[in-house]
Amino acid sequence: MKVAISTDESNLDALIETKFGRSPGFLIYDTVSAAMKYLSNDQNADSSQGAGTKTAEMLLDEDIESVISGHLGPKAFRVLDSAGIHIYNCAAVPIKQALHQLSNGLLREQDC
Amino acid sequence: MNTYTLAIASGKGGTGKTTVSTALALASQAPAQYLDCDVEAPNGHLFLTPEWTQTLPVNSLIPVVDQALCDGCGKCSDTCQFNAIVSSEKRQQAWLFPELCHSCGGCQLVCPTQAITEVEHGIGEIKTGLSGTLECVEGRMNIGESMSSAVIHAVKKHIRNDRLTILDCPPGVTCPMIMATKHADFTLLVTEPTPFGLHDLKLAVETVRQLGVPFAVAINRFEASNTAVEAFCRDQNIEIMLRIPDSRAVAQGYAMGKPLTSTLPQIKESLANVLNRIGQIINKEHAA
Repeated sequence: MKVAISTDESNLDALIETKFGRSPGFLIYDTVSAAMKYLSNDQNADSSQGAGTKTAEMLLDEDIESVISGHLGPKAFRVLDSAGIHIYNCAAVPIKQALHQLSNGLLREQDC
Repeated sequence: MNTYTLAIASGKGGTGKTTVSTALALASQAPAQYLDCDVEAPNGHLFLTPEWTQTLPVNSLIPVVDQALCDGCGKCSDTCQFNAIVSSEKRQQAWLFPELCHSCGGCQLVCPTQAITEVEHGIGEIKTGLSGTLECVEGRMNIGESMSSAVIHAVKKHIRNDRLTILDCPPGVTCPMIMATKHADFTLLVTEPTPFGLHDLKLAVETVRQLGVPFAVAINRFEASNTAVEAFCRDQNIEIMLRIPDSRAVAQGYAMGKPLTSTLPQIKESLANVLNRIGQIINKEHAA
């Protein structure tokens, strides 16, 4: 399954970015094939308002099932949650560590 | 007779805009109106104690999406400059965020399936009334709303061109202050002789200069020993039209809801002179 991870670099040693709407970018990682691609979020990160809403919209086009980030604000949450995407909160740890925690069910799922 | 629109603004909050604007409105020898544009916290009524005769709702138009008609094309999202509406082609769905919406109507215009309609959403109210012969108008934004500009705009619709209009503006130099101050004939910037007061006065000066509104300064809680504001105004060629002394009696009167003209009746003459001086400057500008 594809998971979108907020971060600023396209490698698995990079740290999780805890901001969602103003994250510099997202690593889209396929947990089955280990394929990955980096999506820049520059255009949304600079918004004067609604950064979270546009970032959520961008990710909806990516066929993801989950997101790993810091705590999402209510607007971004509303979009992703109503689209059935699982939102997992994580601290600023290396991505490969977060993925390990995800596969072991150790990441907290955000429910509101 | 003075019939111009005078905005009373400041950089820093709490410098004395309401003190000065209510006092000027009461000191006017000709018919006048006081418009409270600080719609997040209108407080002029505490000093003018008007008898309110009319209450009018202020509404803005907010779009609503009929998801059954929405095909997720994204034209609404591409059009919105405020990220207030986003969509998904896969899910044929759009999400609207009223608190970000600026009611421009763009999304409704571009929607190819007519999935978007606009509904009225109450954001505040206007009250009108009289304090003696002084016409009072107050704008008040509903708790929980964040877009004050529409309410301020609704207050300013009550400006009459046949009398002096005093606009008690919101503090600061962002959207609410600009909405209240723009197109005024003159702005009086109220400051206090403190480092914060001076810092924010400089921002306010920059703002009104960009708005192209002629202006002058009033120093509240004035004390002769603090000269930084005076030096700045001298440097910048800015006229200081009014100095209200730092006085415990004024502060006590304020705490009891007494306007400045009640606590310091002798200041009425200075205030009337300020109004006439501003009238002179405006007439000279129009003649030029």
